[in-house]
Amino acid sequence: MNAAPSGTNNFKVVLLGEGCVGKTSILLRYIEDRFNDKHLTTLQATFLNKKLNINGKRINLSIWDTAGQEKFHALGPIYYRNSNGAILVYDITDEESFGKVKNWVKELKKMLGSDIVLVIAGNKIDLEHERMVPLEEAETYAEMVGAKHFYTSAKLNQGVEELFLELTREMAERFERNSQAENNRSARVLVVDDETPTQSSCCSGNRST
Amino acid sequence: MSSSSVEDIPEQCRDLFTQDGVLLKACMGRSISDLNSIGMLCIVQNTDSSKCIEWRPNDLITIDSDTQDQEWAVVNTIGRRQRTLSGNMTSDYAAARARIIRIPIRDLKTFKCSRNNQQMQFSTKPGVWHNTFYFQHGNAEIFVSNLKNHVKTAKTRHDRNTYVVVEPNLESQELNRSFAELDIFTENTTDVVWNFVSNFKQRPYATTMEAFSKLNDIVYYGNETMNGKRDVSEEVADLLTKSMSALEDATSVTRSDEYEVINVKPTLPPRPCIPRGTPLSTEKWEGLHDTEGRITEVEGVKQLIFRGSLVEKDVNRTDRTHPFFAGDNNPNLIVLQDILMTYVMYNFDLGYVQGMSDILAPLLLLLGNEVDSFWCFVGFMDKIASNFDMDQAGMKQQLLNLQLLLTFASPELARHVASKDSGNMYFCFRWLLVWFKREFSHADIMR
Repeated sequence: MNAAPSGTNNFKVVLLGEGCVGKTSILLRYIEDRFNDKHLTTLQATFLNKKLNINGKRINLSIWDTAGQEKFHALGPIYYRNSNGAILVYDITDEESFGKVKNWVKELKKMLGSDIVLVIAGNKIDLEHERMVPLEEAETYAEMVGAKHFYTSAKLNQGVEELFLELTREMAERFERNSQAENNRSARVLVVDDETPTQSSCCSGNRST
Repeated sequence: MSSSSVEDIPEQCRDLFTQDGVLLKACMGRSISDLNSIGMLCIVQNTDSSKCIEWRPNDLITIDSDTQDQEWAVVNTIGRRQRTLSGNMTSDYAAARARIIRIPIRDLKTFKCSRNNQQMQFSTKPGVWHNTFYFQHGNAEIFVSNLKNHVKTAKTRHDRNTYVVVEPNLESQELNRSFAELDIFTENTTDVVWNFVSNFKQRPYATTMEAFSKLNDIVYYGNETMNGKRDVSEEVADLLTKSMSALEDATSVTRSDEYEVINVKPTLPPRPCIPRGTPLSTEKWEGLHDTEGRITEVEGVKQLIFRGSLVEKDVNRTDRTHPFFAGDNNPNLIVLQDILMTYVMYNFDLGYVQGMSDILAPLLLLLGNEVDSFWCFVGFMDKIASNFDMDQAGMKQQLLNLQLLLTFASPELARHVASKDSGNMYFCFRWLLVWFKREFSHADIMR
């Protein structure tokens, strides 16, 4: 949680989820308002910036897009550490991808505790007729883990703007609360150099939560 | 419900239930102009006692009320009304008639109520939603509960909002017919009461709740749509008729089937068919068995089956701008997928990893032959398999080497990179993973 001297808040957001659920598409829709159903598989994390002004408060979002496949799971920590928010994306036509969201939630809670704001996005609602993840199950689960749930379609531009707005609002609110409550928090969060690329596993548990 | 002469008129249907404020959102084989028009969703009974779900556009209702009996205007009337196709109909009317959508209840396989009771979908064939309706007032659950009086349903396991019609039971249809002939709810009231009582004895809770839910629906529905235009006595009359007809149906179903059959019959809900390609062929499947026909790696097989979909998804977004892979249904995509799936079987421990399709695509493009491309790909993967290992150890080692090189070649740049929190060099991940395939133009890669 970095407050720049100018009064602008910088928030880091990470997009996580199984391969081909639409993480890149959601981001492209949000930042550039375009959609391409044949864009390339994301093989390494990239990030895009978005500047927002919410109620006179300037907010800078750095949004990290990650590679989704389970095989790249080990890269997750590199991108979610120091994140203020995570968007966990699943494909409503793919039950497996919803299971993956649950895994991410578990891992993020374990590694970052309540420092991170979670939102869950059920993407591809343009394929409603192929839905495999029951509406109620997803919403109940999200509520249980304290995450907001959104239905999105990057293709039809539905729910994407709302998703980011709500996440940003929530992050800003939490930031306010935390900075008021404890001033030493930022110092604690900035200690991050304990993780080097040679480390074999992301879950070695050397970070207390 | 008062007309007694109705039996004399040909082609009559009886509305068992109607609900207005229903938009047609999607219907197979309908022209777009029909969609999004507002109308009424009904359950109707034909003269032969067979039942239908029927949607009528509102303009039809208006036309009809102008030319025909006033009863049409009373949208909520539950009872008998005539519908004839006599000569004095205008052509407008005939055209409007053509826009009616009818789904015979005996053909209904599944239906779904979703989006907070705003949407209902019907299917007469597994895997296809033929009709989608949008309920303006978000009260689709009322229709569902009424529909459930006419069909036996079971909820699917994976989606609480999807109902599978358990039976289009001819026996119960026969019985329904005979019940209809008895005209039980206008004359044989004592029978109905008796049925209610016997039914109540057999399953008191369900019977009571059913009756209550009927009452509740009517009250709720009446408020929602009629804006208090109907007078109370009419509403009460409807209430009675409805609860009785509900009883009639419940009773007939119970009698015909001893009602426990629902639980006994192991009917699998038809799953929507989601195309996932054909990841597992017979030969591959046979190959998974050991000498005694056992499957040795159950988890591996599961993964293999799931991976199939990811391979397909990735193939569909690999180099699609290149003419060789461009366009829909490009046969080269199938070859690409087949090679990858063969490789998954060939190197079972590694499986498919995103990025492999990037490496294979130029090989296939160059060789243009499935077999040669496969073996070239195998050879290439032998070289770089560590890039795709689960623990990413190969990639991490390479990135570390790269960082060392950078520190040696340009300490200043290395320091800068480190100061920007990127000393781990992960921004080079993709370069190394697929050998710069994504970083250069296609022409340069093929050189």
